[in-house]
Amino acid sequence: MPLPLALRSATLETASQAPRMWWGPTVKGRDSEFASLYAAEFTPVSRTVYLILQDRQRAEDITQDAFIQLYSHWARISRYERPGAWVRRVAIRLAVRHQNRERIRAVLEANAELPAVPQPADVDLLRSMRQLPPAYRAALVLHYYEDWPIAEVASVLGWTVSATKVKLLRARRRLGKLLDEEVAEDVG
Amino acid sequence: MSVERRLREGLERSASAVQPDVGRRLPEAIIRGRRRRRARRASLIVGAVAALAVIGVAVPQVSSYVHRVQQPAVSHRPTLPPEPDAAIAGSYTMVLPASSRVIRANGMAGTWTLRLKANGTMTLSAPPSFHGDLASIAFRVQGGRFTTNAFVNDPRCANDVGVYRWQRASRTLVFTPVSETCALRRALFSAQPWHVIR
Repeated sequence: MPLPLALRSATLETASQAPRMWWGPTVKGRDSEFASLYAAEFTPVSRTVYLILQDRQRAEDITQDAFIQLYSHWARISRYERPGAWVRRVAIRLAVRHQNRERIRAVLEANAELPAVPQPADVDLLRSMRQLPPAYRAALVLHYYEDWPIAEVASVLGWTVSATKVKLLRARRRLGKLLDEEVAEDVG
Repeated sequence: MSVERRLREGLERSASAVQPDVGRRLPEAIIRGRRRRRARRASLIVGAVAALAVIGVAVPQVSSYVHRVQQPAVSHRPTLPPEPDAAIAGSYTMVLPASSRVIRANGMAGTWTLRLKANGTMTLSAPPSFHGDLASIAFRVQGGRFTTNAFVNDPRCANDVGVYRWQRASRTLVFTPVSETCALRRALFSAQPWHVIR
């Protein structure tokens, strides 16, 4: 569903100029700044979480939980240089934690058919990624989709840099076998 | 195609298909965020009140404990308020025979002098063979009961007082033990009648 133009153009920079949002007079003051961030970040964050969970509804719910946490701490987090980075890290951690809790079910589902995947998706890639442990999946998403440097991936997943490199290499090798693709030995 | 390229392109393409209804979700996020913030503040307030309550209760107790600990050790020696009794006041003497092990072991055999003053203090003069401390001793009389802390400076007798029935005749004063844990005191007061000096 395409977003309204005002919503799509809302960014943190324009928030301070009190842009006219579609939610209009009900969102004021600090809520307006939060709403701007929400508009700018909810979709990209939920996409990242989706790639880790591969469940659109759960991805949106977890992203929503992260934004609810953000709102409840907004007085403090809004003073950060990049509040969006904070909520993204929270969402990723919630997603990995959720996946770890659901590991048994994930194993059972690994060989099952993917739930309805929004098109255009690389279904084979998603299906192959489901064979990987949740944290490996998260590392791949953060490094190859979010373009995070290895150090930042390591930081959010609680690993060392060298461990992250090793795990990324293992994940790519596994995917290479499953997808019958070439694998480069160096990361990045 | 390499796995890396497949990842970059495939993930981008798969993610782009996700289009959440941000407009529907934002009000819910604000409402639930407010609720969560209120709950957090409430729990903080409850925590602060609980902390204050603990401080309010604990600090005086700790302070009282510290005060007690810092005070010099209070002697548990029994003290007796003076309660003069003219009927028993006077000076008495008694020759204590070496009739028991306690008397012999403590060198108590010999002549003792007892002076009971009307202000409740008493003095004891011991035979030279006795080396105990007889300072700061007192007595109290309530009806037919005579209570004394004599030998209070002896560790064996320091934690209790002796209670005796007393009977004064024209020339003698007789003590009969009622409650006594101190063998020295029992031997001194109840072994023989005391003879009135004046």
